Amino acid sequence: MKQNRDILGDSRLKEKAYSVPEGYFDELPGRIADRCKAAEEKRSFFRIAAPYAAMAASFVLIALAGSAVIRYGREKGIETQYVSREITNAGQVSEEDIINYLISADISSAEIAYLENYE
Amino acid sequence: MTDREIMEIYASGDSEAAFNAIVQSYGERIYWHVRRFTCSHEDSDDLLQDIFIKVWKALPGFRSESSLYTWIYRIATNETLNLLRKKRLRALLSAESLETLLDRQADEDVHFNGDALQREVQKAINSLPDKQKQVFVLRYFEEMPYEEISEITRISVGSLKASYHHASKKVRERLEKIF
Repeated sequence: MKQNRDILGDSRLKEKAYSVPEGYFDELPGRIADRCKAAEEKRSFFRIAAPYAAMAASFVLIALAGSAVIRYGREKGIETQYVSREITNAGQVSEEDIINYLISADISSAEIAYLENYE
Repeated sequence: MTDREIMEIYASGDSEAAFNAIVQSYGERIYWHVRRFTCSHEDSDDLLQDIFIKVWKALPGFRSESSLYTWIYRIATNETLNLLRKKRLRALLSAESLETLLDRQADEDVHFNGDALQREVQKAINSLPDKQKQVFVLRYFEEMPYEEISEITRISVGSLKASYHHASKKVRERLEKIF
């Protein structure tokens, strides 16, 4: 007879399944205080990225089209160059700049999901 | 220290002492909250610091319209969603899905000390849409009342209940296929 149990009712599931490095929580307040001070001194992202913002927008379209080409190529067993790496290795703008730009432009999870499913 | 005591310290002008008290009171709790989303101690640590930097910067503008607890969790939730969007974009540029990336991190996590069932729960959470993930973690693991989740996420209680129902159904079905 099949047991009528709710697997989510297993109390083990709610137990913490991770350890942390020794002393992590004790040292946390000091590390965060140091980060806060450093953050106050750091130049704002927009002042650094402003010259690249317009360039990043056009590279985003190329990089995303490139990733669609890669997926297509992998499906067909075709070896392809990693197009977006070619672009970013040109030293003009990093992937991280592209990502940070898209986040600052408030790209939504729905838009990202659309791009993920783009064929 | 209670939230009220913390805000009294802040109101007295000692913003650093108040902020340190906030980190002492909430640091560990927020860490375990974000840990469910990142599958990585290092990412959780970075995210935690970003969250508290935001708290520090926003503290002068905190107006007790919501509780300190709700306000901090709201910042944590927004920063976590931002991280997930960044990870999703990073994964997209590497021609893989966020779920694949997170599952790989879950498998390689040297700080994981649970059993197979707990690992599969984490992977089931990884497969959920971000908003369902959020509701599931707050409701299932932190046993937070819907009214509090609603204050944090600014989503209606009805929508939260529906999200939780869908999320828990997906998690349950995935686990029942394996165990």
